[in-house]
Amino acid sequence: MNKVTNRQFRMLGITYILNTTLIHVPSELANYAKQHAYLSFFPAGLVVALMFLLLSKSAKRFPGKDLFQSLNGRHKVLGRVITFLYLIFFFIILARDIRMVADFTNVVLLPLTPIFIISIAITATVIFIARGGVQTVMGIADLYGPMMTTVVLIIPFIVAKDFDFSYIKPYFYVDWAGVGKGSWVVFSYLGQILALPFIFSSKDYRIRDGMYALLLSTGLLLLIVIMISLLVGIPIAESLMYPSYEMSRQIKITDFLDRFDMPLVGLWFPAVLLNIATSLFIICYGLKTMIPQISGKMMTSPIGLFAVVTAFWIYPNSVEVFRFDREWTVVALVFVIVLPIFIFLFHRPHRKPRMQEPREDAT
Amino acid sequence: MIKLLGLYILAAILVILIDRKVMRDIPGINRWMAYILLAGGFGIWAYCLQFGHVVYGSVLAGHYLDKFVPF
Repeated sequence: MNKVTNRQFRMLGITYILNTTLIHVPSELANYAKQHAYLSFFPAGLVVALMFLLLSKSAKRFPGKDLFQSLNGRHKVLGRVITFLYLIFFFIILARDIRMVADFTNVVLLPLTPIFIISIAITATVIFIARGGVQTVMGIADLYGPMMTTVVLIIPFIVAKDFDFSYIKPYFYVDWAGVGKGSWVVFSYLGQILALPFIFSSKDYRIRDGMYALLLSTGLLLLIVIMISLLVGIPIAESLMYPSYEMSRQIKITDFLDRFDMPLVGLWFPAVLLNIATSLFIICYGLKTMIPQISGKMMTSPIGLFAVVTAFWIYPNSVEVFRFDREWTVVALVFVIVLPIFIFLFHRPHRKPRMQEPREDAT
Repeated sequence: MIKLLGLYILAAILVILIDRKVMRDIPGINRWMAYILLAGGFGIWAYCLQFGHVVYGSVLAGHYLDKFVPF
């Protein structure tokens, strides 16, 4: 069982959604929903919030246990099947995130370094974070959660003078079909927050902490997409692989602090490593809950290395990471909607036997 | 190709070396799972690096999942 404070829970929730979603999802949202890309977060966020509520209610039926523990304890076979399915789901998320960050690093930061070396370096760091256990993950979340939140909230004040509101015209002509498509794409990213009830005891967090985390991370993403729309513009944003990075390149504090994107990436990179380490931790912790003889700490290294090569097998190139988001949501729907509803309906504690009333003696 | 496979083998050796002391004491299932994952990873990596036609996971999955995407 992993102990966590309410604040740490919120910070981890924010970090787990924000840092990987801001890499390339704004490009897809700009492509589908054009100047109303920010509206795509609302339908997806509402559905995920409802599912988080259902999953948390299910978890709270077993006080003092997280969902992995309660599933494996209450239903010996079905619980393990559901746990295994979620482990596969988070493993593919882990491989996707490793590939995404390695591609970003290869394209933007280290174009001459072989991508396999970059991904090994990223995964090595992630393995050491995950091996530290929940305390290490929480410690980094406590530091980088508020930091990333503050940075994203300060950026609009720095770049406000460069906003061009003609980029988001027409204001009231909304392509609702495009907003729906954007919502479809971002759904799987927001749905990642459903991992938290699986790894934290239901006693250690309140449902509203998860809602705050979802609300704040969605708000920050909304702000980032709006800033991209106003600074970079939709025609360029939809053609770029990393519009958030292009947006950060527009940030200039004074005449001589013009490469502000470098410190920003320096702040963001450890946060995204934390994001990936959280996925690895979830997998190792779930595996340990499923098979108690397994040492979660020891399994981080082989699983991490396996995730690296799987990342290169799943996606043939960087563009496929974008393109597969369309089909990946079909899989995510099962894990974010179908299984949580199933767990909510059927995952209940044993009924306590009623005390038998004493029979009246005939004599 | 050989260089990249060699890098993977080096990484796998490091993975085993990091936990060699712990591996002696913990239940055998951990060793077996680690060896299976490392061997499986080598197989996947060799398959990805081969010069013939490679069927990638997202392309294969996308072929079947595409009909369920509403647009």
